[in-house]
Amino acid sequence: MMLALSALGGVLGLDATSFGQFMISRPLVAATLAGGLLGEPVLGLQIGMFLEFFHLDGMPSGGSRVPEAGPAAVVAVALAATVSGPAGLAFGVMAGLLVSEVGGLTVGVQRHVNMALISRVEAGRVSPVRLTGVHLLAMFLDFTRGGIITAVGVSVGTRGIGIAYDGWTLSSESTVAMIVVAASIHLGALLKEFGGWRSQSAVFLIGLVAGIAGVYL
Amino acid sequence: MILGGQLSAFLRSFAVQGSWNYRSLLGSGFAFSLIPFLRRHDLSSDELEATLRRHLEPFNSHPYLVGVALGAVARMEERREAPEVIRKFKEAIRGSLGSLGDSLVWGAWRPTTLLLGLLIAWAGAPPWISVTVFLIAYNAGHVALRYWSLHLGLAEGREVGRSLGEMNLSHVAGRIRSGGTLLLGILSGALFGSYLMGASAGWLWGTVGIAGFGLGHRFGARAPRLSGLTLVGVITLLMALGNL
Repeated sequence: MMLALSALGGVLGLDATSFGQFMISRPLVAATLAGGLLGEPVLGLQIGMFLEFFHLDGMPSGGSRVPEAGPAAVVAVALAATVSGPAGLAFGVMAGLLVSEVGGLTVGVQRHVNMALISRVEAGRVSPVRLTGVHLLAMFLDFTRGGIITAVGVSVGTRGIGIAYDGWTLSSESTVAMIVVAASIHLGALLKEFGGWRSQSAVFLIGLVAGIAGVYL
Repeated sequence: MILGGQLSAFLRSFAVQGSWNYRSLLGSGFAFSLIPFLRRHDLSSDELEATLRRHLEPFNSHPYLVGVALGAVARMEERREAPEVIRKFKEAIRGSLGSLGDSLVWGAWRPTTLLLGLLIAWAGAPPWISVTVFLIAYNAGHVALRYWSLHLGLAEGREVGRSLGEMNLSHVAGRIRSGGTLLLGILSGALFGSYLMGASAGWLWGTVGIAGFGLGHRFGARAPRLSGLTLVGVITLLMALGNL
């Protein structure tokens, strides 16, 4: 199973930047895929939904370093699946957020490696075959990086899961409420990205009333 | 219609960021994606090497709109325009391709389609439904934009900048953002109504949630990164206290 999860992490690492950007690396998708692999698609969707709130806003423009959500979502679901109830949810989301930050750092390292690879091409004869080979090598390294992040994340996280299970005392309701409160900061930031309260308040309020009505109807 | 070497370049454009790096940015991927066009230009091996070397220079663009530059440069190379003219064209267009793509895709289309997927998930649909709806909606726009941008670049050549300006794509982005705002409102109402107000001590959770929303809106992109790490700290602390 570890091999399958690592391969999935590798593919998700590729999708984020190097190849495609079809957004299978979004937490919503990545966690559901991981849940499917582990036979827990509903848990995967739940973890993916909560993690997605934390990645909704923000733009990966230029060379800015952003957290890498795909492999982290796989780690989150793999860990949450080993502990039932709110402890699993809390530990999974925490691991997902932490691993995404580490993943973002390794993306920076990968870009330095790419720089060295391309410099070597430029130093010699630049042929289509050589350039294509180095380009594909960089993508293979990115795939490997995503796989390693996933494998290390799951391995290290599994060792700490007992502590989480013994130490978590909040109810399921309170655990979810705590996560949603933290996520609400991202929802506010997204409203600002969409134009902000001043220009979008009417549309936002219509939606808000509809959303609240949807809960109680 | 994209045919022959153009199809190959279109497919390669999906990997344009494969060797993204801090020196040439997207430059190496641009050269990699341009290869199918250059192979059709009947160049000697020395000419091909010189051309590829020129395109390894720093270049950046939104990945979905890189086709605009790829197509236009392919046309310019086909017409044997001076390297300096091509370099200046790339320098002139890179900024607008980046900011336009960021605003249209990262700032509007992606969050809007994600909000749609999240709403479907919240409503209790089976896992594969919300994921499939998001992927189909998002990638319909994504792949169409990639195809359109390469087609536009090939059709317009060096005049593509003027054509892009006339299309007013930022207006399209604005309309998508309005749709996204409506979905964001619905999702916020649903989350607050169900997960916060529905929990024990609901009013307390709700008040803190509204304060958090306001904080995120006030500080924009600066606040959220901290909130994820704060949550990690709070969960760790609670686990540690529970183990005492």
